[in-house]
Order: sequence, then C-alpha cells, then structure tokens
Amino acid sequence: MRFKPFTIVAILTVLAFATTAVAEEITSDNWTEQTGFAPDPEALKIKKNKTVNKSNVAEYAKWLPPSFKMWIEKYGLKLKTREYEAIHPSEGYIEATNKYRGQPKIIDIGKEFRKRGLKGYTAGLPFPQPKNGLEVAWDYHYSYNGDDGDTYYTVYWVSGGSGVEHTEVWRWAFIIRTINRTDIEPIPAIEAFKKKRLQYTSITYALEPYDKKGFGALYSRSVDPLDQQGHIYVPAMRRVLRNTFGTRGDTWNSTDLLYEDVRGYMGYPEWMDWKLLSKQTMLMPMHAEIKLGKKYADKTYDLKKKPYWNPKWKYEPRPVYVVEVTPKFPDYPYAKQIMYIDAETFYVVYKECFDKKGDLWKVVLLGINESPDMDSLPPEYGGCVVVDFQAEHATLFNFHKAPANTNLDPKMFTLSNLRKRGR
Amino acid sequence: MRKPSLTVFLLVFCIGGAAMAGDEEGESSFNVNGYFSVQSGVFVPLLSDFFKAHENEAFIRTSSDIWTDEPCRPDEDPHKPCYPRDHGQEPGSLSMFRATAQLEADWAVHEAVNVHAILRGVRSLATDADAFAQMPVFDSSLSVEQRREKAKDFVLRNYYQEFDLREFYLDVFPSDWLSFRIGRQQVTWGETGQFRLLDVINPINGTWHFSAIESFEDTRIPLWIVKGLIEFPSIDHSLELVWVPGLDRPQDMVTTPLTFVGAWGVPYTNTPSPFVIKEKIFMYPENDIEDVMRIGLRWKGTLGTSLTYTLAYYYTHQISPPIPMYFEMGRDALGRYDSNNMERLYLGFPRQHIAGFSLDFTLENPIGAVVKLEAAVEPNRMFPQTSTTYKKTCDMDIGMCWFDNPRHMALSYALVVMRPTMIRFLNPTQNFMMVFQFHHTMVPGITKEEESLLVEVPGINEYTVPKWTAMKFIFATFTQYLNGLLTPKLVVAYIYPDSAFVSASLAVRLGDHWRALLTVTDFYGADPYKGLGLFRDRDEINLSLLCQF
Repeated sequence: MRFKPFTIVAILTVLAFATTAVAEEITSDNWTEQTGFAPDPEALKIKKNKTVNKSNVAEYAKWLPPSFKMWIEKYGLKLKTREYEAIHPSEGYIEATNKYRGQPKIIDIGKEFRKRGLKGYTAGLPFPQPKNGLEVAWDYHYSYNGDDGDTYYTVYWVSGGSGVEHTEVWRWAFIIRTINRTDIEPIPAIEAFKKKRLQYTSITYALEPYDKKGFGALYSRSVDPLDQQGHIYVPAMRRVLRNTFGTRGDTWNSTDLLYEDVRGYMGYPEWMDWKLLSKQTMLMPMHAEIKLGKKYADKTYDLKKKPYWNPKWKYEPRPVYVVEVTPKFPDYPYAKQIMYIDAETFYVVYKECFDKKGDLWKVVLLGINESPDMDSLPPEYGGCVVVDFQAEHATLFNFHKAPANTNLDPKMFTLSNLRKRGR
Repeated sequence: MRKPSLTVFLLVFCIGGAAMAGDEEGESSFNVNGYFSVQSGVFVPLLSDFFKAHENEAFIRTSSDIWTDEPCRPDEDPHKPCYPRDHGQEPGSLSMFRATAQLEADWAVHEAVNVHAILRGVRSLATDADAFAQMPVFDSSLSVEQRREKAKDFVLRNYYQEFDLREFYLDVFPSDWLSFRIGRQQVTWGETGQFRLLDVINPINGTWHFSAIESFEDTRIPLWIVKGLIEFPSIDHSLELVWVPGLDRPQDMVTTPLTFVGAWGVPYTNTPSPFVIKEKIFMYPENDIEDVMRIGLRWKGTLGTSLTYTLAYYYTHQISPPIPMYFEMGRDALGRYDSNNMERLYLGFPRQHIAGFSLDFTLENPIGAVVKLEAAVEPNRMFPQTSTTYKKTCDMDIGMCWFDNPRHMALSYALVVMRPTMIRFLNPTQNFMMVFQFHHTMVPGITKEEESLLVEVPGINEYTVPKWTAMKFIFATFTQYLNGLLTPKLVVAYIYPDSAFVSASLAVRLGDHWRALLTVTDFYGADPYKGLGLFRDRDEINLSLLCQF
C-alpha cells in the first residue's frame, strides 16, 4: 500500500497531537518514570551496609564505572552501600516542566560553539525522557538546583604521598537561576538579569588563610555560550579588577579542578559534543549521608590514611546516563570525558577525564545528600573529590553548610558590594 | 616592651599553628589574623653590570668646569665643586633587613557597622647604604664618618622603626544605597596598578623597598579619611566622595622624599648646588584646615556586561617630589648676604587639581583579554627648576629669594592589557597571566627651552622633564606549578630611552602558615643620574619568610 505525501503528513500530525494529548502529567510520584528511568531491579537487591572493597570488588564490578574499580583496587577506596531512594525536584520545578513541556527545541549548530543551541526554553526540565546525549546535556544544564545557594566550604590540597598540603576556606553565594526560576519569586525571571541575558550570578570570597582572606570574585554567565565575565577584588592591591574567568581548560585556584569541572560540568552544552553511550544502574553517592561542618572533615574523607583523599560516603544503586563528551575546542586539555549523569536529578555525579593519549587523567565525584524537603528544596551538596591519578594529587571540598533557596538579595551581586566587602 | 610582646604573640600563633579566624560553619563576627615576617636582601652586581660593581666616584671640577683628578666625597661636600660621576654599593652589603609583625582585626559590631584595625610593628637594621641619606640639616662641623653615622641614625630613627595603628576604620551601612568608611584607611582609585595615575589619595613610603616590586598595600601611608559611597543600583553606578581633613602627622600627608631614605633613596646629585645649603625645611601640609584638607569624588559605572568606567577628581597637594620654593641667604664673615650660602631652603608641596578617567573592558575569546585605559590631567602642576638655571626673585634687604617655579598642564595616560594564556608545553594545567602596561606622560605646554630647565628630581639637573617622551613599558607574567606550591613571576620594565629593570621571583607556599619569596632584581641604566640609572648600583637578591595565622 502506498501513501501520498499529504496523507503521511496528516497521519504524523494527528499522531503528534495524540501523543501530546495523552502525555501523562508529571508529578513527584512519577517523576522517575516520566523524565528518566528507574534503576535495574537486580541492582536494588544489593544489600545495605555492605562494604565494597578490594576483596569483593569483582562482585560489584557490573554496578561500577571502570575507574571506580581501579580506584578501589589500587587506592583502597571503600564504598558503603545503602538502599535506593527516589529523588524528585520541587513542586515549582515539576509545575514548570509540565507547563513548558515540548517548547524547548534544539538548534543544530554543528561544530559552532559560540551560537546558542536551544530555543523555546523557559523553566523546568527541558527534555523529559532525553533521547540522545545532547538532550541529556541540556537536562543537566537546567537541572534542578533550587534558584539560589550559599555555601561555606574548606578546600583541601592533598598529595597522595604526603597528605594534606594546605587548606583554604571560602564562601560561595550564587543565584543559579536568575532567569528560568521555579521556586522563588520573581518567577520565572529577575528582570534586571533578563535584560542583560545573564542566567547566573555569583559572588565568592576567601575567608582563610590570611594571605588569601578577602580575595573575592563576582562573576556572571550569559545565556549565550560565552566565557564567564566578572571582577575580582585583590586585597593586596585594594582594588576591584575586571577579569576574564575560566579560560577554558584552566584550573580553578591551582586545584585539580578545571573551571568547567565545577558541579561536574560548568561549561555550556554548545561547547562539547555529547554522545549517549548507555543507560545503566551504578552505585553512586546520591544519599551520601555526609555530615556537613568543618569538624566533620575527618568523617567525610580519610585524611589520615594513604592516599588521603578517599571519601567515606554511602552509595546506592542509581539510574545513570553514561555520556561521552568530547570538546569542540581544539586546545582543550581533556580529549574525552565520560559523564555519569543521574537520571532523576540530572546531576553529573561522577566523571572520568582522559588525556590526549586516551589515558585516564582525573575523576570528579560529587557527594550528594538528601534534600531537607524535596517538595521545595534541592538535594544538598555534601562533598566533592577531584583526583588526578597521573599526578597522584587530589582536591577535596568539605562543605560546612550548603543551604539552597535562601532568597539571596540580587543587590548582593554588584560591584559595589564586592568593593565594600574588601578592605 | 610592647614591640617584643607583639612579636612573641605572633610567633606563638605561627609555631603553634593556631588560627582564630572564622567560626565553625560560616563567618565569625570577630576575626583576628596576622603575620610575622623577616625580609632581607644584599646588593649583588648582576648581568646588566657584567657582575662588576659600580664604584662611588666623585671629582673636583674647577670653576671653569674642567674635571680634575682630585677625588672628593659628595657626602662631605654636597655642593660645587664636588661632582659625582657614579654611585655604587659594596657587593654583598645589606640592602635591607626588616622584621615585621602585623595584627589585623575585623569586628562586625552590628549588621550595619563593622570595625577594622591593623596594627603593625616594624624594625629594620641600619645598612651601610643608609649613610648616604641626605638629611635635612647639613652639619659641616662633623667629620664625614660622623655625618654618615648620623645619617644612618636619622634613617633608623625615622624610618626603620614603626609601631603604628596603621589602619583603624568604621564601616557604616545606614541603607542599601549609602555607606561610609570613616577612619585611618587606604583608598585606591585607578585601574592600572603600578602607574598610580589616579591612585593619588594615599602617599607612599619609599623607605620600604624599591616600590615597583613591593605591594602598595605595605608602602601606602594610610590617612584619616571620611569616605562616602552613594549607589544607584538601577543604573549600576556609584558616587564615591572622599574627604581628607588632614588629621595625620604632616610628614605623612606626602610621599617620603627619596633623598631621605638611605638604601633605596636617590644618590647624591651629579650636578651639585652652587650653594652650601645648611638646612632644608620641608613645608608639609599643616596648619589651617583649608591648607591641609583634600577632597575628591569618583563616579563609577558599568555599561552592559563588558565595560566599566570611572571619572575622578581630587583636590590635593603635589605629594612628590618636594619642590624648592624659596630660601634665606646666609651671611659672609662681614655680615653681608652671601649668594653662595643658602641658610635655609624651603621645599613645598603645592596645591593642585587632578582629574581623570578610566575605562576597562573585556574582549571575548579568541582575544580573551581585559583592556584598561586610564588618563589623568594635572592642569596646574608646579615643576622644579634646575639648581643652576633657575629663575628667582630676590629681596636683598631681607635676604630672601623666591623661585619662579612654572606651572604647566601635565597629561598622563596608561594602557594595560591583561590576558590569561595557556602555554601548555610550559604549564599544562595553569594559565600564564600576561600583563602588558604602557605609560606616557607629557607636558604639552612647555617650550624646548623650558624642557631643558625643568627637572624630574630636584637637584638632578640632567634628569629633565620631557615634553613628549616620558614613556614606560612593563611586561609581567606569572603562573603556578605543583598546585600552587610554586609561583614564579617575571617583571620586565623599560623606561625610554635607556634604562630598565628585570625582576624574577619565586614564591613558595608551605602549608597554611608559611610563605617564602625569593626575588632577584637587576637594574640597568646607561646614565647613572637618569631614570632607573639612579638605581643601577642596587641589583639585589632578596628573601622574605612569612608566618601567618
């Protein structure tokens, strides 16, 4: 049987409307099935309070990224298991996902990386049930983190041979959604930022040690895939200086972390090519049960035993999208990254970074705690480990507190405030 | 008693590794930090001198300006007919040895009121080079050795010992749009770092070290200031008002005269005065409030996300160099005024206006740089004259002469380009911050003749004020290795037409408390009395160790 083109178009149109019409409304109860996928039932049989270590890692290898196995075998990482618990975003984010469903459209920009690659996005999860790596990337880009946050944390520079080299204490306050907001009024955008096409603003400053104290940075990110812009306050100069941030492939503050590695990936989807490799279930620290606070650093990381960087967190079977990410920039230090993106939160909970020779270079692992109230707040950032396996060096982040949706005043993110905070 | 107590207190913190700052989870309302440091250096002739030291050379010139082979010592006869040809430092002699202890406290008294204080104690050892400090009073009754000892003592007493509440100010935030900072403080205007075109509020203490390689944080002299900031958030602009009432010690109101400062001061001039000057009196700003106070305002705004600009105006004094204003003639044996005797020379810091603007903007990748442009105009700058061709008006009845110092408009501008650049074969993980700076000063109003009659440094006649060609180029770069353990830095400065310096340093971060900095600086100058030639005998290796808490 042959159809005329008109008939085909008509059928497809009817089918499209029908699909939309029958698309089930997303709720907190069906969030997992409607937007991502549930973990493998077999993985859910993993018993809680088991320790995965060198002696039994083979049993769990199926549920671990390859580098985790190496980390356990060579560097003595131990994973304590716990039961899976589903995670959903706030009511506001779910409502926005339903309201704007189907509107976001990917723009084919090919190898361009300075052109905007998405249109029609307002708020919520742009691509429930992502079909490819790029849609997963956009889901990560606009994943639910609340609208703002205010974190205090200690950074540890750790040598695999000799332990903690030095530490710094920082505060980092940010409005992660100046536009595309779902939780705090004004929704969906703060007009002043919308006018400037800024989707994110942040102020961060060092609290310790003395020679770093007072160093501050104010920066913002455009909706368009441009480099971050901002100002720094340099106490030794008593001056606010305009600065370009995040030269691509540059490390943050001489740590093992590139600017783009913050939160797993701080760059734009347009900067990379994204290939969905698989949908799997893996043991990941999404209810890591990390106690926040400076005094709990020893309980968060094994700072006393070689290699001094192993986290002491809880891991559960999580549905993850495994995505291969390759840079569009010719000079990017990572030839390839494998990102493990949680299928409920769309967080890059773990990633492996490879050098130009194809060898494993670094891994970035986030430790996420349970949300204090899933209906109104995002999961809580509890820790982050970045390990450079080639240099046997690591950077650890120990959060003292990391509240979200604190209703930060946009006036906090001004040059005047940065200047006033300085000496 | 108080100085040793502070030092012991700081050492206990450093050795014990204690830290008082910060509370468990966030920011404490009361913080105390501080450091103890020791910094020392030696003069060592380096590559630009082919590792050969410059010598102190001075010879008598006859009245018809013919050189003789008869040596003389400028610190014995700092006037004609003793003419220096070069200046030198003993290789291996101390360029500095300084111990510094600093305590800094912040107290958030209230949500809208903060108090900040910095207490600093400094003690330096006297160096042989201090013997060449040119004291205000020239005592001809002393032998040259006695005079040298006296000069060393003068520097030690006045500049090498400090125990000072360096900063003490109150921050008050009565509303979202209005704030005040009241007290002894530093106010930094301008955007171009080293050139200080608009960074004119606080004077500089040049005794600290060669200023281009030290932080202004340490070398600025804090002043009692009332600063108000009015913000206009809807347009992203602010207005800053500064009032300096003049409550400070008069000598703190100006930059320390470089003739005073020993190891890092200017050498004796090679064009000595025809006068025997018995006493120099520095007329620091003091007395009535209208003579002392300074006032300024700065308008700062952001246009779009990529451009910031400022407009600034400041009514102040010329804080450097001190300018000879008038003198009292001495008398000869018969009681007559003697034109070869200057009883007292009065040097002043005349009033002036400074206005300027700055722009800074970002250029997107692939240029990926921040560009800063800054300009300042001094519409009525007073210029010192040469010590031989000066114009003056005298009243022989009272034995007084007044220099007819001209005033001209001076224009300065600077361009700075900063670019973080990845050079992966040199450093695969961390960028090199590249900074290029260009500075040009001109005095458009002066004639060719005036150009040769006005000088940059009073007394150094051959270091004249150029009309167009006062240009400086600076290139600086730094990066970090081993996750910030090592920070190498290179600074290359070229002063047109024939002087330069290169400074290479390596900072080492040792844990949370200890820091070390090794700096090697090589000065070059074709002429020992022009530009950086003034410092060409000061090639130096310098090491500082710091313990902080």
